[in-house]
Amino acid sequence: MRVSTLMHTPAVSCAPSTTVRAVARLMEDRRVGSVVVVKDESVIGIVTDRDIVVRGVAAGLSGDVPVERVMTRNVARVWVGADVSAAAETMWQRHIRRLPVVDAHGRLHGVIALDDVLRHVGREVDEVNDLLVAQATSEP
Amino acid sequence: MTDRGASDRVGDQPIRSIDWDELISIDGDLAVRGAAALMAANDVGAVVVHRPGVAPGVLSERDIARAVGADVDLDATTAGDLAEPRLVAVDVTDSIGTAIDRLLDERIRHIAVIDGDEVVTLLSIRDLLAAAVAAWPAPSGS
Repeated sequence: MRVSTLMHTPAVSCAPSTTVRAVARLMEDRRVGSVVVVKDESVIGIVTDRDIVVRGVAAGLSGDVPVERVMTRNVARVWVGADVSAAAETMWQRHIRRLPVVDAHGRLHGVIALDDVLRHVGREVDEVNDLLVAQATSEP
Repeated sequence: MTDRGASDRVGDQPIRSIDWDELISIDGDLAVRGAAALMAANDVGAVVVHRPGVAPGVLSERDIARAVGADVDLDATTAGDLAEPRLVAVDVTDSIGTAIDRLLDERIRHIAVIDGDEVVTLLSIRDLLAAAVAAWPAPSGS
């Protein structure tokens, strides 16, 4: 299954100059755990509630600072046409829960989350289990 | 095909088989900014909050980020004020799959583990997934 089937779209995004407070509100209003930071149509960062807590609150910053001060740079991303397994592997290797989904030009198309991948993988394993059980019970 | 939930697919082994990290718990009187610093220093996303005369709660990164958005004074507000009062928990004898199901159903990232009357740890979805994957048998022929 392709990433595009499971991704959330449109992705919740903001500019690097958006304040941390405004991003935190955006997360709450849109019920998401991350916001992708975009500049000139390119993904330049991602900010999660963990970034806000660790690089913002714990570091003594106020909510008025621009989100680029706390965002994670060097963002892992996945191509919109990639298989879900590629997204899962990247999440596993990079220890992250969410991946921006981009097209060949690097433009943001959506976000795929670990929860989505887990549910998908679970369904696939279920189907294999059912098949194996059916085969076992039909054998003489 | 019936949808049997994650518990039949990943991790029928009990939660007690996980080699979990030490529980980080804090006093409810601690300021939210202090709690955030403690969470950052210990590299955890949630802590158990103890409040006198009340059942323990959980304070997560999500709660703190929400407070930032609401322009709460993080130096004047305590962890006890912000902590989620309802403790979502599983028993140490429950399966890893059961815990994953609860996390997905409740749309939360950390779940408390109870042994008797005591909260013994908080587990994240990543902790549970890693444990389930580690317990899967290797493919035959490998």
